Amino acid sequence: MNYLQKELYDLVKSDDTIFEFIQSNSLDGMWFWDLENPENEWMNERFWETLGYNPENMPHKASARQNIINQDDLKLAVANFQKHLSDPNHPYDQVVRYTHKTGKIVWIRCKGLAIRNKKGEPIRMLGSHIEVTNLKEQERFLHRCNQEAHIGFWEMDVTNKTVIWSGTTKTIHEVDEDYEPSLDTGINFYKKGYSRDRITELVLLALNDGKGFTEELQIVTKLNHTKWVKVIGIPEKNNGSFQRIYGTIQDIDLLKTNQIKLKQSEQAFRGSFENAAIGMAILDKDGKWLKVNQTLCDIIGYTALELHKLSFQDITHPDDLDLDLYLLKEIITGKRDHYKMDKRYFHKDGHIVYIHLAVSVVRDINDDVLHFVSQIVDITLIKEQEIRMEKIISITKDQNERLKNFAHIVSHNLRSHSGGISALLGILKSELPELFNNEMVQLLETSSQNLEETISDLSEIVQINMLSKETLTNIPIKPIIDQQIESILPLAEMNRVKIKNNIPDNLEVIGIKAYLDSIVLNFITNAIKYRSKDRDSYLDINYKKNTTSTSIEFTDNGLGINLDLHKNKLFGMYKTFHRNEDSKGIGLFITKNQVEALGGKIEVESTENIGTTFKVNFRNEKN
Amino acid sequence: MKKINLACIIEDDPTHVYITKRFLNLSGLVESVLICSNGKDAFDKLKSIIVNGEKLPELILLDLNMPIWDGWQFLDAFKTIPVEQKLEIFIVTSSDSEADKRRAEEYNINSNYIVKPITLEKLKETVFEA
Repeated sequence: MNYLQKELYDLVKSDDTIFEFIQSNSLDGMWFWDLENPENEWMNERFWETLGYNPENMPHKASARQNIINQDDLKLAVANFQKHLSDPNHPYDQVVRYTHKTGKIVWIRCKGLAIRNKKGEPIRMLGSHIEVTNLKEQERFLHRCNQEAHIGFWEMDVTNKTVIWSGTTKTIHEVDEDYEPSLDTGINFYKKGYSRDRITELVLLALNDGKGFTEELQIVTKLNHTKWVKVIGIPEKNNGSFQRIYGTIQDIDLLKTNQIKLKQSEQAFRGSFENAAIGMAILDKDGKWLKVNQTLCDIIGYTALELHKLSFQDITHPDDLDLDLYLLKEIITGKRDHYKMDKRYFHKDGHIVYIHLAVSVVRDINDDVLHFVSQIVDITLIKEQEIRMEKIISITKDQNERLKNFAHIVSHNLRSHSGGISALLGILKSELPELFNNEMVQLLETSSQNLEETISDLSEIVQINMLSKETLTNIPIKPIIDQQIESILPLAEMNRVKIKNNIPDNLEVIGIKAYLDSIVLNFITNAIKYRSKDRDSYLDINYKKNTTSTSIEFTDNGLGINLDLHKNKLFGMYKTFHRNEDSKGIGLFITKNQVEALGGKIEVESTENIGTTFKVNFRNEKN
Repeated sequence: MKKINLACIIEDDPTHVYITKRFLNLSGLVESVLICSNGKDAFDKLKSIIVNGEKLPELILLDLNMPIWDGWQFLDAFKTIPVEQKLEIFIVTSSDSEADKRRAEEYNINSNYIVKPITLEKLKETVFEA
């Protein structure tokens, strides 16, 4: 024993002030417990001061201290005490929580030593307190930080073949709190293949060469989730060799997954950008070309290098610039996040290129504009065709107008002259009736009548085709059909044709009444004219309506039409398909013109000797 | 049936002039007929009648499509002349277009609209019965 140590021991025995100094200054509390009279326990002043109590007011009773220990910790302390009494080698040493007089928790490291009599029986217990509250709080803070950052600690000791994982490390591996890893099992959590090979290699390098490591690898958790971790290892030298490695493991799965997705997305964007079939560009806030693809260069004739010195304003047609800038401003101010427009660029060689432009915006986290992404489609060919088409439409419209005028004039003038001829013949007939015994004069009269009829039909067609859409109105169709059936009822009854109007009262079609009268009457008279004499005849009138059109359907069981032969001529002028003496072949022609003038169309289904259905489709809207 | 002393035919086509004049004569209700070959000719003749203080025709049969002045131009010009005497204007035209019939309404003569060819029956029904 060192002489100073021996001297101090002697001084403690002989001089009370020495013990007094030690007990009051070197510890945060001291106690001495009478195990033979367990209620009695001496606590020094510092003991109570550390816990916020006035020592003068505190009794030297064991219960005074036991009352303010956390009850869970007390159980642990009592268990340790029992072990220490029965086995002196078992240390009485634990951290317990006391409640300070103010209510806060005070962490105390409490150590004790049983003092035994000559028989070895414990009769007293001497104890010391060291306050570790600050240390505990720092430990808790660090633990919370690690939990938040998903960082866990680990340690492996090759000599002792032990592996220690912190709680967070266990959470990352999705194992239970009481899981005990080993050297093998720790490594086996790394994903088979690259990750496991690499961690094995790194651990060996650390143990053999003392090289630390930082690596991003994948583990497969107990719950079979594959996740990315960042693992740091620090080898520790002991007795000349590296037998222990400690470090951290951080769950970076979300970050890494996002990084991978971002990388893939960037690659995809770069791939689509560079190889796109349409022109693509990235422009800064001022309209300068930052990045352009080859297709865009091909469209406007500039190289990428030349474009980088220009802005889109430099090559945009001045008449299109204001709208473009206006829409761009709306994006910058957040009123819209994209826009599309057709505009014109000047090609490098000066000619105009028509393009369809779609612009979208990329913003930073503060919502400020980072840059614009433009997609540019060359529509020059389409535009040129459009212009040509517009010219053709304009010419056709003009020609159509002229034709209408021509038809009108022709029909008018012809009517005037034919009227003159028939009137003159009328006068002649009344004044010189004997002339009409001559065959040639009779033929002249017939020709005159035919001419007048033809001109009358032509005039009607011309008028139908000059109908203005503004005159169209919604008209209930049922009363019109009823009225036409009634007007022709004697004829229908005489020919034994039953006509059934199945149209509801409230059904309306767009048209003008005179045309609707004529259309309906024509289909009814046709059904009577072309009835089959082999059977009782009928005509059923039904309807179908959808969102865009209303179809009135006239179905009869008459002679039918051979559509293979006659379909293309069915609605032509002066076309007849039956040997019926009444058929002139004008009715369907006029009807078709009337239906088309109302914006509708006619369809026909027919089988010879079975019957015919005419479907008249009217549009539900005027335009 | 009313009797008419003087009727006026405004018509450029000699055939129709002949027919119309013939039917007016056949009706036996018209004393004499004034023939004008177009709207301008008619306006001038009728104006000079007024200037001379003579009697205007009581009946005018007016074609629409004529050279120099058509029927509409005649109507526009004629309505500017103050006429005290009662006279009736009938449009006699080969046009049966709705547009022309509606336009005739603007001159307040839509019911006096006869589509050619003119016949004695039409004249009797429309003109003399009116």
